[in-house]
Formats: sequence, C-alpha cells, structure tokens
Amino acid sequence: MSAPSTDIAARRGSPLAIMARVVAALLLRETRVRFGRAQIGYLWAIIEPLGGVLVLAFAFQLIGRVPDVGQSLLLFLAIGMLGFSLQRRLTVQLGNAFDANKALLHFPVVKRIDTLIARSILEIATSLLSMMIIIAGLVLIDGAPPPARLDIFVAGIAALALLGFGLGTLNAILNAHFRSWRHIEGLISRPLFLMSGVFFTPVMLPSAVSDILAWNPVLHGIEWLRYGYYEGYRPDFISAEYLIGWGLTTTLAGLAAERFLPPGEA
Amino acid sequence: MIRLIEVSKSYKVGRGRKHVLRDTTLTFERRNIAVIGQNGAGKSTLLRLIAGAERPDRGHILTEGRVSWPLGFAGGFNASTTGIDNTRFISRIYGQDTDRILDFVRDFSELGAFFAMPVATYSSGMRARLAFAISMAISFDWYLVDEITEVGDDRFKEKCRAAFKEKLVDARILMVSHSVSTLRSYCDMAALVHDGTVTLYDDIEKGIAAHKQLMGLARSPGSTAA
Repeated sequence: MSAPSTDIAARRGSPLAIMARVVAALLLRETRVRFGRAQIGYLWAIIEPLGGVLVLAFAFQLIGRVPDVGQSLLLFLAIGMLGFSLQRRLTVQLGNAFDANKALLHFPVVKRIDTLIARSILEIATSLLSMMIIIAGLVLIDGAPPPARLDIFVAGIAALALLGFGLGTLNAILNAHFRSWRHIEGLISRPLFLMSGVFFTPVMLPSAVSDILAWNPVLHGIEWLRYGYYEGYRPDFISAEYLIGWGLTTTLAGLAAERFLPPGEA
Repeated sequence: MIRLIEVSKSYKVGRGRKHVLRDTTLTFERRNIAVIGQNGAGKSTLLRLIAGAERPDRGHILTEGRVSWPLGFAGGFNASTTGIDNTRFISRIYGQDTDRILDFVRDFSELGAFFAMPVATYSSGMRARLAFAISMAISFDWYLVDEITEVGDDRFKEKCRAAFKEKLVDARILMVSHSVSTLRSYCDMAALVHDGTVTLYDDIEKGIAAHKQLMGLARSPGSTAA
C-alpha cells in the first residue's frame, strides 16, 4: 500500500523547485491583492513617479531653475525620481513583507525569504516598466535624448536594486524584532529624498556640502544613472564600489540575520 | 518515517526558558500516533517542528514524504481575498492541479456562493470548513493534526470523519487532542511529551496511562515527598 520512498521524494520536489513554486504563487497573489483585478491599479503604480516629477517640475518653473544637466527639465527630474523610487519602494515593500504575509507563513512550505523574493520581482518589474514608459514618453513628447550608454545606465539600475533589496531585507528583520523600528526608519528616511540628488547634482554644490552628501549611497546611484544617460556627463565623485559595497553588505547582513536569528515576535 | 536527530528546542517564557526538546533523537514509524502531554509541554511545538513551520535550535528533522501543515487552525487565509483565491494559492504552493483541487473544495466545503466571496465575510465555521476541505483535497503522507475542531452539523462531521479515514488508508497521522476518545479512534500508539523528552509507547493505552499518572503527580506535588 505504501509508496516507495523515492517516489514520495520525487513528488515533494527539490527545495529549489518548491521555492520556485511558492515564489510564483506569492507573485500571482501579491499582484492581485496590491493592484486589484482592474488593470488600472497596475497602471497607477507605473505612472505614480510621474506625479512627483510633475510637482517638482512645476516648482522649478516657478523659481526659474534650469536642470543641472541636459536640456529637458522633465528628463532630469524623471531620472532622479525613478532611481530614487526604485530603491525606496523596495526598501518599504520588503520591510512589510513578513507582516503582510503573516497568514501565509503559517504554511511551512512558505519561507520568509520567498516573500522577499516575490516582492522584489514585483517591485523591480513595476519600476522597470515605469522607467521605460516614462522615459520613452519624454523622448517622444519632450524631445529628450535616449540614453547615451545604456549598459552603464542598466548597471546603475541593478546597483540601486541591490541596495533596495539589502536595505529592505534588513528593514523586514528589524521590523520583526523591534516594534518601534518602523517609526525610527520613517524618521531616518525622511530627509533621504532631499539628500539623494533627485533634483540636483552634487557637482553644482559647494564641496563642503557635497563631501557630506557623498556618504549617501543613493546619491551615487542616481548620479550613476545620469552618467549612463547623458552624453559627456561624468561627475568625478561617483564611486560604483561604494554603492555596490553598500548593496552587498546590507544584502549579506540581511540574509544572514534572516537565516540565523529566530523569527522575532514584534 | 520521521526522524528527529539530536533536536533541541526551547523558547523564552517570562524570564526563564521552556525546554520542549532536549537533545532528542527518535524515529516515528509509519503509524498513527497520538501526541500526548500536559498543557504547555510542547505538543504543538513538536508538530510545528515536524511540519517545518519552526526551526529547531539544534539538530535535524528528516521527514519522508509530504507532510501537511498543522491542521486545525484556519489562520492561513488572506481575509481580503476569496475562498477560491485562497484555495488556488494553497494548491499552487503544494504543486497541485489547481482545477481538480478547486472542484473538490467547492463540493466538499458546501460554501455555495460564499466560495467566491472574501474570506473576511465567512463565519468561523465556514473558515474551518474551507480549511478542512483544502487539507482533504491535497494528498499528504503525514497529516499533522492539532486539536482539529469538528465543524458543522452531525452529517457534515460524519462526512469529515469518513474523508479522513479514507485518507488514512495510505497516509499516517500525528495527532494532538484533548479528547482521549478522538485519539483512540484514530491512533494506535502514543508519544508522550514531558519535560524536554519524548517517550514512545507502542500501545496507546500504556501511553495514556503514563500520561494520567504524570497528571496525578502534577496535581498533588506534596504526595511525591517520601
């Protein structure tokens, strides 16, 4: 009556196959829960960064500022905003991943890492689509140039995504262990938008200021995107090693904490 | 077969630590096993360890075959989505044929139009029916049962018992229950969890007797002083 054990093992699948299955199921469900059945929900998520760009552009028009790089104000702001929101959305969404999936984590086949991977795929895909649509729109409508060095631009996106994943994983762990972390995180991250070069380049700032801002890895990421995008733009302080170092360190620390710390009850 | 190899598990209780397992090595053969022990001895934790829902502090747990989640709770549902969506999700994570599972659960749970409604609108009985139907739809080699509450009217309860007995032709059960008669009707051997150790009894009656003796001792600590 009992099946041979090899057959049972085959039915259960390898750990990697189980993980792929669970991540796929989480992805389908997250998409449905977050964006609803109507495709309009997803459309909103894609064009959301455009709202921020338009508000900033309006403010720039009022004070008569011109973009630090290039001719198109909208493009300059869009690159900053898209780069920033890629990193920021990952940090925030991964931070909530355990909490939002609490009910599903009752199923032993669902591991916490699966929820992080599923959310990362969803966020990165949404951000990429958002970038492509907004930048293509600006090229077509606003007469903005296409990216000069696409490979460097894409590498910058990857580095910012790595940072977002690392910070998001740490964020999730800290949320699980410290009840007040989400308030502290909110406080720390609030000035980040102002300090990340979304609407300026550090090149235009006095070196006393830009030297301090250079500690912010997100600023390196956004400048990296501009370096890839604009022909002949080469801000000398960008350090790819610095940004990637942040990304790798936070990712390794986050994954190690996820693996070796007890789940936490906050 | 389920093997525990040098497994230790403890958790914080107030200022101290409660040891559920201390360096425990044992093998559960393919039998129907009643997990017994006093309140707080760690019966549920043992099931959660075997299910893989919790990691041991030390040691390894090897399971052969597909092990269920600890049945008996209805907490694994996302309340904002429908019974159908929840069934689909669980069916996907266990690598099942989603259409077949949906058909079975729609029929077995008797939820009618509620199956397509958000789980938030369900009564606790309806949630339990959905949970039970899903666990019966998926074939496991081991069913871990933690205080399953019988739901519905007598006819539905009888249907649940019949479905479970049918599963147990091929599968085996590890069951926690306060009802000795429920344990007797499903299980033929016992695992007694007490003070960080697990003792196996080949005969469930011997296990129940040992458990009763421990309870007697616990109730009147003065009587042990000689």
